[in-house]
Amino acid sequence: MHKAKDLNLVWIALILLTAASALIAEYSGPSAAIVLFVGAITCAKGSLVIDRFMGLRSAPPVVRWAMLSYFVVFPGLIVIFSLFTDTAGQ
Amino acid sequence: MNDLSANSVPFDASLIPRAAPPGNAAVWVLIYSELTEFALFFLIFFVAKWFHPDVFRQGPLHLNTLAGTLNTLILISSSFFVARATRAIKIGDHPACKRWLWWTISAGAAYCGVKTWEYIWNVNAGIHSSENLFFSIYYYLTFNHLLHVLIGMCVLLWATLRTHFNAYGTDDHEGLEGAAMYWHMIDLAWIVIFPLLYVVR
Repeated sequence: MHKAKDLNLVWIALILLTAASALIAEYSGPSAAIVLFVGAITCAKGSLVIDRFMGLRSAPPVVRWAMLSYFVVFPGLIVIFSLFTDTAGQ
Repeated sequence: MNDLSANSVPFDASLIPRAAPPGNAAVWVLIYSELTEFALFFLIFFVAKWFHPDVFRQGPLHLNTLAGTLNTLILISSSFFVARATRAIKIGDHPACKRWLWWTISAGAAYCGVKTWEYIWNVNAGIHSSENLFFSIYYYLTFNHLLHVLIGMCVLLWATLRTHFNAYGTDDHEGLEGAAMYWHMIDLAWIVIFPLLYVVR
């Protein structure tokens, strides 16, 4: 079981990661680096919720990895489709 | 006195049974089913984006990023609240558990309020589901997610009621954990939806 302090720290980390994404959305132009950064943030946020909030770090590996893989596949697809469709559009 | 260490076998971590996942098997079947449903719509989004890159590049520029960000912060916080509720019941702190559950339900209500404001803002900005493929998928994904939030709130209300009547304890809180896992799943789906619709352009 996670300590309350650990959960508080994870919450703050998630808030900061979300704020970073929002600032990127508002102020940055489209670029490959930005898209990769957003994909990494999405992956990190999903992993934190799965391992720390849901407590799946001590769950059977198949349950944990099925969840974690979701946050590798979909941020990966966001990055791939963003970069490739941009290339196609240009 | 027996010397236990003298008879001990080498430590093998793989022999230690892993803990069962929180909640129960039925909840996990539901969670994987729901995530599969969202996954199908994400795939539809990607295919549509591939064939209509200009529409999907322009679409996010017209959305209310502030509403999307607020709802992300609200859902992240609600996930934290329900994690604290689960922790509270595990240490037998019923009042704290109920308090955290009410915070979670309030966050769900706040999400619904922000989403309503976002839809009204869209209508005033002339954004309709029939405008183009991006907005059709945007409305389908976000409205579908909103329905899941409403269902999650009902589930959490039920769990709060049962907590109030001491149905859960330090050793028996499977139902509450199941409700919490479902709520986390709703947050996880939004964690993908936010960059997909609002951030990546």
